[in-house]
Amino acid sequence: MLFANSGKTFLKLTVMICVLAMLAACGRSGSSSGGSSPGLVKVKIQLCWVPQAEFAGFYVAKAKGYYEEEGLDVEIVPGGPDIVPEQQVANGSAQFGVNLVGSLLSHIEQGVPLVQIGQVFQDTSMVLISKKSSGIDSPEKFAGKRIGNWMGGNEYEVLALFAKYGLDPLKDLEFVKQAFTMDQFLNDEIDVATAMIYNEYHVVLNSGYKPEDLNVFNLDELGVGMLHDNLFVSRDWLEENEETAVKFVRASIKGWKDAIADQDEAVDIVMDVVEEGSTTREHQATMMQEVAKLVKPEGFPEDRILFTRDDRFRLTADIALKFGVITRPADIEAAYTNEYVEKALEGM
Amino acid sequence: MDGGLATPVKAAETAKEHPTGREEKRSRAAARLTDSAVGRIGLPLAAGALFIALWELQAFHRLLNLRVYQLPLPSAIIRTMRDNFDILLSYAGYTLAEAVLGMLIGSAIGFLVALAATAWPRWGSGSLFIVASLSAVPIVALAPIMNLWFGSGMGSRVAVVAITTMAAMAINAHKGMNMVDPLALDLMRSYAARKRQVFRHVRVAGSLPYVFTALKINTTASMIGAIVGEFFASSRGLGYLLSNSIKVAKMPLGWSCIVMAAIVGILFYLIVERLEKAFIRWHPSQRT
Repeated sequence: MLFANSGKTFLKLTVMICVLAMLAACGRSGSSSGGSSPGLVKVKIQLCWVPQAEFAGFYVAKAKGYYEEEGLDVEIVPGGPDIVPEQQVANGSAQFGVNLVGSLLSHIEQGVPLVQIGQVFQDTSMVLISKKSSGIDSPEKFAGKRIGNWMGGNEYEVLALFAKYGLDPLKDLEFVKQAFTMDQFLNDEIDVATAMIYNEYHVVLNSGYKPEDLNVFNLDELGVGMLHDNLFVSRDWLEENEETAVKFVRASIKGWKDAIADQDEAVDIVMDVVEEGSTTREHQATMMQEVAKLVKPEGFPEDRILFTRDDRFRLTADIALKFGVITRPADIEAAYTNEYVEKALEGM
Repeated sequence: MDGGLATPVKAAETAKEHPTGREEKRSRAAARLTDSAVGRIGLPLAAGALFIALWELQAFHRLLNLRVYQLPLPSAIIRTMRDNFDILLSYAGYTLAEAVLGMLIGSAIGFLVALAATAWPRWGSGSLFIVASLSAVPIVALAPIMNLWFGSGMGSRVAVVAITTMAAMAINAHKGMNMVDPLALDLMRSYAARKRQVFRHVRVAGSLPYVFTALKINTTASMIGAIVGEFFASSRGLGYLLSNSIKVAKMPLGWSCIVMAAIVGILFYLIVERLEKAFIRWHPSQRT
């Protein structure tokens, strides 16, 4: 009886809630287009990870108005584990993307029309770490152990290392997916973990380990280092927006120079954009120090920031080919260009 | 009575007058049979072939404005499946094991809940509600929690599948146990059957068609649960390979996983359907 009476009211309520929800959704999408300054060209850059000092140069360029000086209204879009910047740029959700060079090569091979216009990190940033107590002090001793990696494009350098030491990842050891915390490593669920030298390595150090407690395998020294964070765009977009690309690169170079020169200020800027409670200032400051060394390694001239080094790019492509990231040799000339960095420097 | 006798005689006469009548009838029946076979098997097959041909000729690409890297061609998918057949097969087995184990556990729990809700309706119906609300929790929310509880091995996916398959079984089985024929209950009472006997011979037996309906729903639900669960923290399985392939732009391999998952899902469903035929042959729904 009660139900029969309230049936119609319930139906009406449901319809009303649906209509309200739809209106609310419309309102939100409508208001997001407002608020931008007139006359500025709107572009988006899709990062490969959450806001942190890894991308300090871009955040500094935005905060200090370098993009605006160039007539650009730049939105920096954070990434995450399931966001593939190459695909976001290919489908037009963003104009610029930052990700690993190996991933870019693999997308280009599949016919995705992309081209690299800048190299943010000049060296590999990935290391493998084990606890000294485990006795794993050389890659030969990986046999029979549990080796962790985030996969999704991060696994190729590690696979290259396995191949170099004659280890079959399906038979000789357990190659397991690593979560984005270091808990598996700290709890001994994995014996060897992958770490970014600027991030996860310091997470482990902050969890009570000292550098002398850990074995660190440097992938560059082991000859399997691939280039990481780069800057790329879609070919089709670039054809009609060369000017915008040059302006974006110029402002970004300025941002990176400032971030390296005044790291304190850069960390302040980054702390304004990080997800609240997800990190500490100390961690971002350490990250900034390490990232500065990757963007401008010791002895690397300052006016070469964002330049793609041909020998390093070729080495990355060779490793990618040897270990199945790509199946045909990459067309290096078409895969990257320094033209936009050079044009950007002319106007500085 | 008169008419009843007359008819066969007339029929015999007709048969004599048209000796080909019976043959004609038979051939017509055969034609109908082939007609229906063409309709049943031929049409869908032709539609499928047309679909794949249009896909291969990039009709859908033009229609939806897609490029080949966004939707790989069937020929590329088949080539990739052939090249990676070993790993696809072993991963399919892994995912299927998670789905089957999880479904068995989830369905068993669901059935027990239905039993309890029927035996003690006063508080038992509350448990039905709890199970139904549990199944409303999205898999994407459940998967990371189960990883935390059961580690990144098979256990977490089995748990996800179990939780997502409980409700369909509990609700269906409960309905089956309570939709019994009142005459059957009267009959059992007249036999002085005990409550336990009524339960076993009338309620549980009567619920079997519903139980199999739930199992059939759960085959597909369990494959979805296992694959989505693998997206999060697995190092093996079709879901892991699917999400990883898409991240590294190996779209044909990703689609191979989709094709493989579909084949495995359909086989799983057919097996349960065959079991249904074997177990409830007595039920009107199974008579043809």
